[in-house]
Amino acid sequence: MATIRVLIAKPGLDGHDRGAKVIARALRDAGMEVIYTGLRQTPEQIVEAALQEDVNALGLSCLSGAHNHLFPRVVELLREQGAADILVFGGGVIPQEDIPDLKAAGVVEIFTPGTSTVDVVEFLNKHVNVK
Amino acid sequence: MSMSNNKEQQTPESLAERIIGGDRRALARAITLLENGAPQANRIVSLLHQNADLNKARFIGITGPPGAGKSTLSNALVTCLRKRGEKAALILVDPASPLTGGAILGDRLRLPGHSGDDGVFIRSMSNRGHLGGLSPTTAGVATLMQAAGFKRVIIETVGTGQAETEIAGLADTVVLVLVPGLGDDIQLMKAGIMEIADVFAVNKSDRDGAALLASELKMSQTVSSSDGFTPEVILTSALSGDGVDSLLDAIDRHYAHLEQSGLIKVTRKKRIQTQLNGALQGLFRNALAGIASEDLSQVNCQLEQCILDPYSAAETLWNLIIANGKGGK
Ligand SMILES: Nc1nc2c(ncn2[C@@H]2O[C@H](COP(=O)(O)OP(=O)(O)O)[C@@H](O)[C@H]2O)c(=O)[nH]1
Ligand SMILES: [Mg+2]
Repeated sequence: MATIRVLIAKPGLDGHDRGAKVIARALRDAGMEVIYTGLRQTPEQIVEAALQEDVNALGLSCLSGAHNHLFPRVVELLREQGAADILVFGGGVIPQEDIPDLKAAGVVEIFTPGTSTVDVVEFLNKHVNVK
Repeated sequence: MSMSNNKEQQTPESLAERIIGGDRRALARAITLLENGAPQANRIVSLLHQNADLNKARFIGITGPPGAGKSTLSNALVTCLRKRGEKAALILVDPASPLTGGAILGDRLRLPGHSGDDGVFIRSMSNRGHLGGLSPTTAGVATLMQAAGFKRVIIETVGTGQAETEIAGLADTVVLVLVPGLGDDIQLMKAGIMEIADVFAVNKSDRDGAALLASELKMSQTVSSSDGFTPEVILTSALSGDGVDSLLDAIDRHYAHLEQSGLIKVTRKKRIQTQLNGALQGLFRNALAGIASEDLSQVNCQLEQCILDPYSAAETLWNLIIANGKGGK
């Protein structure tokens, strides 16, 4: 009866949340509980929400180009809070060459434009283990 | 504050102790355990009942139709409470998809401003298919928050139609949020939801028709309830914050009325019943989940082939549950 809970957040200053909403709906349709926190959240706000909501996974969407700073910052804050068990994944307009560094920083997967939502669902079902 | 996640600190005893100490991660984790019907969850809540002061907290219910501004108003109330130096926890309930059981919990969108404030704790919940406006574990979650030191727990129900009145069994004060332009007043008067309001908030007072709706509501109250209490009608603009202080004052006046009239005892009895119902439903769900999958699929198979009717099938499953219980797993 455990349900996968996912926070979908948009750090950064861009105002485009279509992609984030598409993902949110796909995850809901896969039976997950999706907490959607909206635009222009700071890493601190995102991490605090993730802890209060006790989510299993945290999806970050960023189109402003600031992902190289924002995504690792979120991972770092989670680790500081002893919440490294929350799985972080990302999406948005992210150049291929940035992906290795983001993964090295602890972002487990990056979904670039054109990814099927089915892949995201599969990824979460595979990596999140709800007891 | 230690945030370690190791198993030792996840025992009911240690979680309960950490919750009473105000540890937010322990609170968050215990809520999840309760929602998921984990075996240790009931034990945690019992321990809190034994060891925490659970009488002082006030539960405020915020209910009303979708889009009336419940979340925005909850946010404004929290801001107001914080200015008065009070801590507040919030439970935001949204409906699950009946098809998939999944849910999008979007109320946090309206509560962006309390980050970094230890006096505020916000949790979104799916109703997990439960009808009535809450989820089966909402009452338990409110208890956990109370034990963590939140003397005010604000509970936003799912957007209600006419019958989602369960909040009346949990909250001390129910605020019904209405807005102009949502249907004629006859419709309003028919709705069961009208009867559970202790305070009316006519929100979006910045819009045409709000003042009119407020005066119509007041006029409809020529007959007051048997205890002589007439719910106040307060105009609010949750967006600008106008009227929210008055709303909080009206909520407190209602609570004072409960205390002075002795009705608080009735409210608390109802709350206990609501908690009992929630706990029983949880046990029942677990009992159902405890039926061996072969047994379950056999019953389902017989149902599909019309060898069993639904009533006999229910009897069969019930007997399996009882046998499981006697087996003393
Ligand atoms: N004009 C106006 N809009 C409001 C007010 N309160 C809420 N809203 C808007 O109404 C919409 C629904 O608000 P929300 O709080 O999500 O409603 P809920 O579904 O009842 O929780 C949002 O776009 C809010 O910004 C208000 O006092 N005045
Ligand atoms: Mg809402």
